Amino acid sequence: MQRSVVVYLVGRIAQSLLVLWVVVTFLFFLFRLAPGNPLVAYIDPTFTEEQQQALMRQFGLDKPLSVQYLVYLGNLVQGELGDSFFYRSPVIELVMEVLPNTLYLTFTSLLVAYGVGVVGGILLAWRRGSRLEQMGVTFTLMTRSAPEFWVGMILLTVFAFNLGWFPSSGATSPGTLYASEWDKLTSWDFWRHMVLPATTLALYLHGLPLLLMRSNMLEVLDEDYITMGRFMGYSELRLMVRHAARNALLPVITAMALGVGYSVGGNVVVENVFGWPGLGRMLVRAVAASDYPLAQGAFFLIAVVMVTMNLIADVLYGVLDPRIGAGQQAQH
Amino acid sequence: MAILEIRDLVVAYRTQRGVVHAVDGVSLDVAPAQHLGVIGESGCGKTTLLRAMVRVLPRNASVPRGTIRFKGRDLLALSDREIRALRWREIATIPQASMDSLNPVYRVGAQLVEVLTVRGGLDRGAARRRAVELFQMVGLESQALDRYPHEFSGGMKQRAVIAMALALGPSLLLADEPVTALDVIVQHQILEVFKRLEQELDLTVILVTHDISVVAQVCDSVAVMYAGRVVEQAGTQPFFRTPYHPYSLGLQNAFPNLAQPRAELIAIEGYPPDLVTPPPGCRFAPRCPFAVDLCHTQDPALGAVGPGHQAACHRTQEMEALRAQAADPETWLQVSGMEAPLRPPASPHVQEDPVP
Repeated sequence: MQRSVVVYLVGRIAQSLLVLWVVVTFLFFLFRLAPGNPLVAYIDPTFTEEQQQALMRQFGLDKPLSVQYLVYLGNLVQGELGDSFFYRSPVIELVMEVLPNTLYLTFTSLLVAYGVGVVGGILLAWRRGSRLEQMGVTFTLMTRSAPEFWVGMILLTVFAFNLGWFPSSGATSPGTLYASEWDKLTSWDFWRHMVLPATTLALYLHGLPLLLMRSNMLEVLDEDYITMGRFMGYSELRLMVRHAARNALLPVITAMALGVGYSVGGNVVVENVFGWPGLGRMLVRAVAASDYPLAQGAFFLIAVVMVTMNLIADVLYGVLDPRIGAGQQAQH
Repeated sequence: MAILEIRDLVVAYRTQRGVVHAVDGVSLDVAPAQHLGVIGESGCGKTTLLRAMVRVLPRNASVPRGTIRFKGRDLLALSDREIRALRWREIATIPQASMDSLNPVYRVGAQLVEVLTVRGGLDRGAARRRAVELFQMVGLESQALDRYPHEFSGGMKQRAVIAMALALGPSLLLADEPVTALDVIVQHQILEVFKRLEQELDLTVILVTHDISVVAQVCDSVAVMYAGRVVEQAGTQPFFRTPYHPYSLGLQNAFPNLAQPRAELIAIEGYPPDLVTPPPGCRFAPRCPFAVDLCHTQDPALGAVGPGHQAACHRTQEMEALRAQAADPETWLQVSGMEAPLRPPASPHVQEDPVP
């Protein structure tokens, strides 16, 4: 049994690596198809033809595409993402510097969104047919369909500019320096900056888990084992939480993996609206500046985060639902 | 002194087609240690009757009339909290869908321990020991406690549900079709477990089934339900020897009998009446080969036909002759009234939850 779990994990990880390889390949060729000279940031119009050629050679852009691709893959495996054309420093350092900010924002908003979504979904299913349910569903549908940049701007107008409760931009106040990442994470200032962007993302993200949880709950509440629980004299709270919610939660776990994808996509917009120094904002800047290595690096990292979350969700699902575990064991 | 007294109980379902009286004026007495079998075809109100006793009814159900006295307390007058306290400790239920009554994501043992700790007040260690005992009692190995429901066979699940029902030592056990989904061999094994436990634990049992052979095997008395009413009530012996209601005659004809094998089984033609608009007279009249004019206009009351034997039929006096006629398949082909609907009426359970 232990052995089959290991086999399953290894297989699943291999599958994730394959996905990453496809993403990387796609990214590589996508950027090579983009119009414009990638060395625009470097090459001054006054450079001679020879100087330009020398630069192209220096960056390896004179070699055929297939060779460039192999070199790229080889470097990637060693964690070498190249140098940014624009910042003239290693991409890996640049993205690693902003990646934590993106992860903090993503996980904070995901946590809030899935916490509110799951609890809200249980509540709406429990109180089905009530005013609370009608209002809850309407509100969720509204926030889910509202564009994030718009919600973000409304929040900025109301809470940052009019009321002045929260800062309007950045992750820390200008001029603040933290001795360590931990100091930043435990500072009041950082979380005050987090509130508006995280709320914007959470408002967008909570709809999926909430509506999914609600409909799963309604389905599970019709199951015979819930009726059995009533026969057994369990309280409604116990039935809802321990018996129904546990079962209704399973598809929500899968949705959470997708949620990470949505939120990384959403991050690009939200980080730009709130000037959040994360991967999304860096990505937009890199694309605008034709900074291929940096854009590729940022995309690559987003892909890594997404694939990893999918992997975690799959493994979690197996832990939560004993029937899935059994199915995997039978397969291997 | 009866442990359970039901008087004039009515249970109604609101449906889109109108109000369905699934149980319509049922009165029953159950004595301590009695094993009562309630039989009748699908949709006659057996399950509704059972669920009304512990007030676990679908959302569109209501109980407009009647009383259910259990050990002297009116169950319908109890608060939600009080009835909940009574469930499982006093009245345990083996539901119709026992196969699906175990939560798929918890180990069977954990579910047994849960009911023992949460409802029975035992600590975890004591609950675990009791769970092992209960499993032995129903013929399951204690290792099976650590398995999930999907790793159980149908018969094992049924045994596990029986073990759960007995966990808190209830005085009344309600069993709804406990063996219907099982093959005959497993059915027989489960019924043997049932019979043994009934005697060992001195249980009072109400067993609902559409299968009269189950009743013959484990019950000492019988109530026959038709279209929401009890139409005959008797001890098992007199019921099989001298049934007094034409519907009971029909039921017995429709099942194979080892003592008196016959060439062919005789089905009762037609369907039970639509309970939104039941027929004015006897509800069985449209399908009854012995119905006379009176039967179509006047509803017969349940009346004594022998010691502890009651039937609701206008022609109980002539039953001896009618029983002889009933044995002839021809009799059942010429049903007098053709008022029975051609299609089966919609079951009240189909639409359990109307949009409020």
